[in-house]
Amino acid sequence: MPNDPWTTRRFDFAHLRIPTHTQPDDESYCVPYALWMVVQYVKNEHPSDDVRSDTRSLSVDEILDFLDPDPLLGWQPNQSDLTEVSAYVSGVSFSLEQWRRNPPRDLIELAEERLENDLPIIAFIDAQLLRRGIRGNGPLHAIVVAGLGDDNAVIADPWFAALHEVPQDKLKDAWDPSHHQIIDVAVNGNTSSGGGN
Amino acid sequence: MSVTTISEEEARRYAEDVVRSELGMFLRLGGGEYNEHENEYRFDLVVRSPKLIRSATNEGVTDVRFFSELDLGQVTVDGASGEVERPNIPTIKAKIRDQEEQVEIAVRKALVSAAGHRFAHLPFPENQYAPLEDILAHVLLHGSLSMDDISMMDSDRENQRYHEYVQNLLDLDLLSQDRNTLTAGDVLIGIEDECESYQETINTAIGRYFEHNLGEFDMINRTLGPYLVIASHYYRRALELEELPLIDEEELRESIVSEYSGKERRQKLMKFYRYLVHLENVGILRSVNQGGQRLWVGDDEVDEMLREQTEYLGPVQTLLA
Repeated sequence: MPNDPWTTRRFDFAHLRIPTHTQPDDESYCVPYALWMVVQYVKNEHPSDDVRSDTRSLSVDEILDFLDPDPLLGWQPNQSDLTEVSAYVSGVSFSLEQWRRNPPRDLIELAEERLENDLPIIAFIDAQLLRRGIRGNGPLHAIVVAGLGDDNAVIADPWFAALHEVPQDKLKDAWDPSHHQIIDVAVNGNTSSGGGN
Repeated sequence: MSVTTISEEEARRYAEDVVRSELGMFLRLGGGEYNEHENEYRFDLVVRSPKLIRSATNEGVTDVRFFSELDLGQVTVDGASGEVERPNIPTIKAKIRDQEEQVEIAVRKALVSAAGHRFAHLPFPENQYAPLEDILAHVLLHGSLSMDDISMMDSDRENQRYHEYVQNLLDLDLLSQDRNTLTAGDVLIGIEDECESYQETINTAIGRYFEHNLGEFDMINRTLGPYLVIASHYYRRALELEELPLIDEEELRESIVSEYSGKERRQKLMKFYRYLVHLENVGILRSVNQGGQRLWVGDDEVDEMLREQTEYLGPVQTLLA
């Protein structure tokens, strides 16, 4: 019997059972932790037995070895690091997508498309704008979008130990203002991504 | 004559691409301008570094705060070729580290200003701080001290140090000078009236010295050394968490590990427990047994006075809650 990766236990609307982990000390570890959460989700919760068995576990330290984020500057987003992680875990592939000018869809629409296929999305957001509502050159931070309700979204934020509900408008607004980057998640070579440029 | 072939919007995109892919996702571009003379666009490179605020038990993160915007130099884009130049990474990182260090210094200064009188009661060995005791004890017990006695005492370097202390004590009215002779100043006389022993008088006077001589902060920082490292680590956490947390001893030990290296670190770690005992003795920290585990908590009065040090803490308030 296939797994049901969805739950409504904590929020009014369903969200994927993304395991949450807090990055302990280093502010720059958000991308490795976001990837780790997604790999764990696919390995343990994805509805397909084949996908789960094809996915190889890895530790966050192994992901850190692949990405090597700078503690003061953050990760330098690049596909090559993600390709290495994808090759290692085998069942999941990660691709860096970006829309340099106006993206054809907003972050919520992109997430919705992926969630329909039981997959989360990793989005880069202006942390200061999302957390404090302050507009102006906040650092970019990676979060995992795990579910969408009518007005709110459930996110796994590696800076905190639990899933959070945030207004969708706020999330859309805080999405990476210059590059509109996401890390797209695909399983067994099938992605639901519309792709970026 | 150079020809501008790219627009400001394009130039910004080139610069943003370089910042994102070559520097990192924390850095952003601020305002920009076109320099006609050089035919180049110049954009401010800035960062607002995030800072995670851990819970008292270190089991999770309670908040994230952001440093004030830091100017890291400029990214330039050639108006004709689109070639991008940026500050080098070591320079950028040095500026970010310096900003973090300034917060630590601000907390230490504020703590010395708030609790100098308690630090002054620490049992210091013969060190940089001893000349203050020498001068004050001499004036208190002998009644006066001749500047000639200081000049003839030791090497030029040592004499210079004593003379600097004398000047600082004069500035605080702890000493008074008549030609070549030093005597107790009005402030020292007032302290002596209120104290019951010479040691208490000297400690109170030195406390006053610490609290008012933050211009000499490097020296005070060196003198208080590991005591200030441990105490400021605790009280910074108290400021961040807006309460007096119960902090694990291991975390305080880590503050020594972070501050010192090599042989000095090993020496300080060997003396770590003595430092804790002394800090407890002067009322800066207090040990609490909870479920068989020894934890450390600060003092309400120190914390209250620390929060009043807005001169030092004001500029870093966004990080400290």
